[in-house]
Order: sequence, then C-alpha cells, then structure tokens
Amino acid sequence: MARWEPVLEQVMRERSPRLLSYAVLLTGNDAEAEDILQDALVRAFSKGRTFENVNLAEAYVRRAIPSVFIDRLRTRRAARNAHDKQVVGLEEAVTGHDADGAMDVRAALGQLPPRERACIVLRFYDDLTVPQIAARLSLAEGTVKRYLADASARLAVLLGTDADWREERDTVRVVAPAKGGRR
Amino acid sequence: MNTLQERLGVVVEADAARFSGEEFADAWGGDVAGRVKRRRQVRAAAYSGGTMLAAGALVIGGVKLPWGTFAGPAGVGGVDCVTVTPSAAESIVYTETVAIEGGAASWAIPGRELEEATRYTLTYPSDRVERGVTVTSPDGTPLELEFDATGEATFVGEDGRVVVVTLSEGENSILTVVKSNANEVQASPSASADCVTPTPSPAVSAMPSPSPSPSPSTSWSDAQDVSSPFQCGFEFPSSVGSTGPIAVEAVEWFAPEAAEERIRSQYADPEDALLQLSGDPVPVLVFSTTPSWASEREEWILIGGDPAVEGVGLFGTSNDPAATAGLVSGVQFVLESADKVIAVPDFTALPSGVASQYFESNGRASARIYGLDLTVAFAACPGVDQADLAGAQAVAVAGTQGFDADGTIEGPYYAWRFITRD
Repeated sequence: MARWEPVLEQVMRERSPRLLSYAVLLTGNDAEAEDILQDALVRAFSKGRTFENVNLAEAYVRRAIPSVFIDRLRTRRAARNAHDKQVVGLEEAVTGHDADGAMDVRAALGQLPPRERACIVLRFYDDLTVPQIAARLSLAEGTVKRYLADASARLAVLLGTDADWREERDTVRVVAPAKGGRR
Repeated sequence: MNTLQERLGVVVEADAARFSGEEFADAWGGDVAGRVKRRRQVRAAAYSGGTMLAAGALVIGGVKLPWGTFAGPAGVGGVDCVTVTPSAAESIVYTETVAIEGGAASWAIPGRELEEATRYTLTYPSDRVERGVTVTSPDGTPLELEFDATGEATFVGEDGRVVVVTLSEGENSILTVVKSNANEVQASPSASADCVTPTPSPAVSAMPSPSPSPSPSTSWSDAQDVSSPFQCGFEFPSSVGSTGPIAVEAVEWFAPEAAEERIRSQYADPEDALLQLSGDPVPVLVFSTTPSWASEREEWILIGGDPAVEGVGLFGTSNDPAATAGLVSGVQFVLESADKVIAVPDFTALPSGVASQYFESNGRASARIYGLDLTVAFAACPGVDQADLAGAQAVAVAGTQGFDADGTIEGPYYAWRFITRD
C-alpha cells in the first residue's frame, strides 16, 4: 500500500464530517458537498505530496474545497448541476428554523449567488483577506470586493445585522443574533 | 449577539454532527483512492515531459528555484558528445553540476512538484571518494549509491524518474541527470565512440548531455511515425488547422504585468514567490472544444500532455474492465521551422514557463496556458541545434480524445495555430 493511502483513509474516516459540513456552507446541500469533497480529496492526494500527518492532509483538502466549488461552477455541466442543486438546496434551506439559528444562516447563505457565498465563507469563516480570497478563488480583488459588498448588504437584510467586510481581521464584521429569528 | 463568523462556526459544528466519516469512507473511499491512483500513475508515466493537471495551475516556467537554477534538458556543465537516441533526448529532464568545495558537496534534486517533500538530497563526504555518496529520499530513507567502473551510479526515485549521478574524473564536480521515467533507463546517455558531433567541450569530461546530430537535415519524422503536433517532426499542413472537432481559437498576448496578475491569481501557495517573468509580452493560448464534443463526459485537461498518450491511463481501453467514460484534452506550445516541429517544452523538468488552466462557463470548455519565456522553455528536437530555436515560430497545439465506458476511444483530434503578433 502506498504511503498516501492510509492517510487518505484516515482523513475520510476521521475528518470528513467537518470537511463535509464546511463544503455544505458553500453548496447548500449535502449531495453537492459530497461530490466536492471527493474531488478535493483527489486533488489534494494526486499531486505526489507526502503528508506527514492527517492534520496536514486535512488542511490541504479543506483548502481545495472552495477551489473545487468554483471550478465546478466554471464548467458547463457542473454549472448546470450546481444550479439545479442550488435550487433544491435553497428550497431546503428556507423551509424552517432550528433552535440555534443555524438554519437562518444557511437560508441566508442559500440566497446568495454561489461566488458571493464562497467569498463570504472565506472571509468570515476562514478569516481570509480579500487578496487571499482572490488568490484562492482565482478572482480579481475588485471582483471579490464587489461580491463581499453585495453579499454583506444582503446578509444584513436577511439576518438583520450590520455587516462590514472591510474591517480588519479579528474585529467584528457581521453582527447577527445568536439564536432564532430575525431582529 | 454573535458575529457571523461565530454563527458560521455553529452551523459547521451542527452539520458535522449529521455526517458519519465511516459512512463516507465506506461509500466513496474506493472510488476516491482509485482516482488518486490513476492520476498518480499518469504522472509517473508522463510522456516526454508531459505533465497532467486536472485543475488548478502548474508552474513550468523560467523560475529560479531555492536549490538552484534549472538547467534545461539540453544540458549544462561540460558538454562532451554522447550518443543520443530520440527517447534519451526526451527523457533528460534535469541536469545539475555541483562543485565539490572543501572536499564535500550536498545538494537536492527537485521532484516533479515544487514541494520540499518531493526532493531528494544527495550528500558527498570528502573522505570517501566513490563511496559514501548517499541519497536521501523525501521520507528520510538513506541509500548509499554504488558507482560502476565509469564512475556512474543510477537509482530510480519513488516518482519513477531515473537519477544518474556521475563523478567527474580530475574535476571537483558531480553531475546529476534526472530522466523522465524508469522505462528509459536503458537509453541512458553515455560517452560513445560513435559520437561524431564536433561540439567543443570544456575540460569537464564524461558529462552526458544531448548533442545535435551531424546533419540538421536528419529528419526525426523519417525515423518514426509522427502523427501528433505534440511530437518532434510533426509537419503542419497550414498555419491554422485541425484534424477534428476542436480548435485553437485564439492566441492572445498579454503584457507581462497582466500575465503575472492573472497567473498569481491562480496561485495561493508559497511558490508564488518563485514566479519571474522575463519582461517580454506573453503569449497565451486559448483553447476550446466544441459543445457537442465535450458532451457530458468527465473532462480532463493535460497541460503539456498529448491526450493520445496519456488519456488511456485515465480512462482505460476496451481491454480494461475498469474503463470509464471521459474526455481528455491537452494543450501545449511547440516551436516550428519550415512547418515542422523542432522543439517541445519540457514540463516535467523544472520549469521554464508558466501554465495555467481553467474552464470557462460560457458554454465551452476551455483552457489557457501562458508561455512566459519561449527562449528557455523548449528543448530542441533531435537533429536541431538549441541555438536555432531563437528565431523559431511558436505554435499553440491542442488535442482531444474521448473515451466511452465500454472502452471505445474516439480520436485523438488535434488542432494548432501559429502564434503571430500584430
């Protein structure tokens, strides 16, 4: 067995739940997230890397997920599938609330166009800067700024929050209620 | 109130609890591992410098590397004549001559990837001539090399490439030659009495390096069947054309700054810093397939790879029970003179240009590659002097081949466009 195989196995068995949930942030639905995680695993492990531990491997896979998500949007077929799934995901996302307000966030994310959603996730969840997001998603910085501005404004309405994506890291970007409902 | 960041964290935690890693691994583990294996096999069997990418980007360019400057496949250091077969000439992907200073030398051999983990390290202690040269693999395993009577030692790296280490006689230097794959070990260049090339040689001897054949008119295409514009000797019937339903639709020229901006936007890794542009305008190949041809197949793009050579490794043939449906396309730059391919890029070696590719969503699958420095990116075909490449015409070439699940292969089809500037 090649050296990468046990690491791949370990990543899938131990780390896939968090990786899948991260992918769901981007896709809005589980099936698309599973597809994306598979592609990200293939991408991360196909480059001849020698992962020293599962944490490093997980980091590579996690890093690949947004890129795979965007790349899939760029393909004709994937764009069509993503659109179809997005419609489903959005319908699923807006059907209700859960106790901790997570569904509100999911629903709000689901109403963003995919690229805006990816920018929001990378900015607010991964804590990346605009240049880093641009590099990660192969987008121009100006485009990222526009996506973040539009998406933040929309999230502010949907979640009843003030949103400022331009703040420095480690400061408040979007203020939202912790639980349930809209303010 | 919580920040959006905190709330996203809550969402991720909540979702993570819904998923089972065991179920995911059981459901998809075999498929994922199989895809990884196929890709790694394609890499290991990369043909004459072809390197495969499915997505993302690849550095192939004029790059100063931490371990030294890449010397192209035409060889550096001493130039003595060697017998060069076409396969041998294509197989040499990296050479480096290391001076022994203070009786010791230590250097690294880059791997296929620009990553520390894929490098080998050679050490040469001063007090054990021809014994004690040790290679350390990326995982830290040491191997002491055994030299033959000619002062040459060979080993095969875990990536399948052949590494030849030569101790120079009377000179305080060591030459390392890395060849593209183990299948070509028998074609290892060696000093030959039959060599007739009167190339002046520096004092260093027994330094293998490809040399031009006595007569430039010796045709590569006469010696073997050449059917692909990715190959040396292919003759272009026109400056723009194709053999099937694909096209090289355009070749753009970017200002260096614009090219760099686009390229850097594709890179988020530390090796970004290695990118160096020559300052000249950069040709950018824009390749696309027709919608009907792309269909619903899984699509792969090979940067620098001929789909007819590498596609089978991805999707299989009718004899392969694991054959799957897919579409493999390849894009590459070559140089031509008198309508014949006279040089091809060396992608597996370390780099001499920068390639980048992605799919558009405008209804066509497409890719772009950037030829950053055409004067250093290419290796002369056998029978062609490297010096003659300076005035050669660059050509963008592309190929595509389809695979059905029953192993039926459609194509390959090729397209090309001579690169001219307005």
